[in-house]
Amino acid sequence: MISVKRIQAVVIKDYRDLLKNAYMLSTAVIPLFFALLLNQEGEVQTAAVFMPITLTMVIVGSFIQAAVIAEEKEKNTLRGLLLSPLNTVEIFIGKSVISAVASLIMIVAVVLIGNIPLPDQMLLTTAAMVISLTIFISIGTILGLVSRTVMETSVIGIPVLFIFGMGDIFQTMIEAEWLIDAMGYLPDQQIGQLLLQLNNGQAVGDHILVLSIWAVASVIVTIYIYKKRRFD
Amino acid sequence: MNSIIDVTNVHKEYDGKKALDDLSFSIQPGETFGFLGPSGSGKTTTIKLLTAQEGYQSGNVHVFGASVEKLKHPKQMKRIGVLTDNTGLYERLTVEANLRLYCKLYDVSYQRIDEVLHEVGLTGEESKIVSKLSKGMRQRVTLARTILHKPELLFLDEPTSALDPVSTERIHSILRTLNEEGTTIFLTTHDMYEAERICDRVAFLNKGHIQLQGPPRDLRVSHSDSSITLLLKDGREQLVGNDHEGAERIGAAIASQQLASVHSNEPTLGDIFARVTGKELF
Repeated sequence: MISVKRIQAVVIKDYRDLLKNAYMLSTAVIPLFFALLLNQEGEVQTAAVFMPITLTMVIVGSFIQAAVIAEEKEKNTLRGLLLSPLNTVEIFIGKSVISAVASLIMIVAVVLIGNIPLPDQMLLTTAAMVISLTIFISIGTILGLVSRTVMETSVIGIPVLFIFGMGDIFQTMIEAEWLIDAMGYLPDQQIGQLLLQLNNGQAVGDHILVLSIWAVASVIVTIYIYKKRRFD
Repeated sequence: MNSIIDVTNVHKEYDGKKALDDLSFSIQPGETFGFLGPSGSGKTTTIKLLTAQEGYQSGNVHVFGASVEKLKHPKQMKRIGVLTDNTGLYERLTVEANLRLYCKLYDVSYQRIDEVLHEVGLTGEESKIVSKLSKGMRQRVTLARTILHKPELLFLDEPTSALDPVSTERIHSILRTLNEEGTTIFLTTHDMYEAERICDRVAFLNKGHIQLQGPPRDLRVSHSDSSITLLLKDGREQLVGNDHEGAERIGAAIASQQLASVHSNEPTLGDIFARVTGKELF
């Protein structure tokens, strides 16, 4: 059975810890600079206008999550949690809430600062954001689990930042059609297309489906790696 | 009496290399049981098995009368406390914030924080940031966290490793008190002095196999050569047997007022370990 009290305890601890963690606080505000740089003016024409949102998910959702998990491993505090009454689900939820809340706050800030036009269909937009956050936080958890130190997450995380956060930029440099097509299935591309199509009043079921598959797959991989690496 | 821990014929390998070899022992409720062995002998692996952190290839491990796998249930986890040399604290947080987290996880009142800090001699230190504490104090905070929920069974992996003598003595005193209050303690160490001081029974672990086990005093007596050393007032030493002739020589030394002191020549646990395994404990 899941205990809200135990999850709450982990979240409160993480919140207190985050407030004293200069590395994570400075990482969390990086997307604001991208939002300022990529400030939108005029009409929405391509999915690339939503790149600051996906970058926020990668930087805050994945990188902060990776750092949170890696630090628990590096300082051997994760073992203490694992040997407590916390179960796997409680640990996953408890350790993801701060990254999720920080991501949502930063997405709102990025949207406001960057003048990013969000679709009117808020329910679908929110659902897409939640599914996407699940993907990026899972990727962050995987990064944290496979890294031995917080510093290592930055190194391992760079390809993730490029692949999952800057796909739009890379697509302009690639000529191979098959690679461009394949990259179109990456979650950042899917969320960008989804928001664009919502803005244009088009159907987005296929994008929701692809994102959901990504979410399920990333959670399964996270659980698998967690079972393998949690006591390392 | 039912054993609180029962390990039978356990084998464990890492990548084909034996870590534990036909390991068997049991621990009764209220006992302090010490696992002695040099680094790499399998002490930490044994704790990982007993706390369901790792599995094993064959054999049986029962804790609280049930398969060790059952320990993963939160209710069972509340019955144990685990202190290893690598169970860390949150360094940016205060002592109190660290303990508050575990109060919530174990469903224990915050009032217990004062009690437990008093028990480990850290009253008044609750607002200190953990990163500012000495190694000995950190270990005591970790111990406080481990006993916060009053576990029935404590697992301690080298609890005083690399601590100064004062901190070590403090932790020994806490462990003795906990044991007197009924806590069963499973302790690994390579410090024979620690084992002699606080363990009711010890087992010598070598290459993943128990070579000898029993109460420290019984092991010393059974491995003693029965000789006695007389220290005379002029500084000379005389080795006498524990027999009629030896008694006469002790009597003569007393009668001549030459006797300064009498010493039995029981070996230390370290000596016995070296004799049995051909290895030093370090």
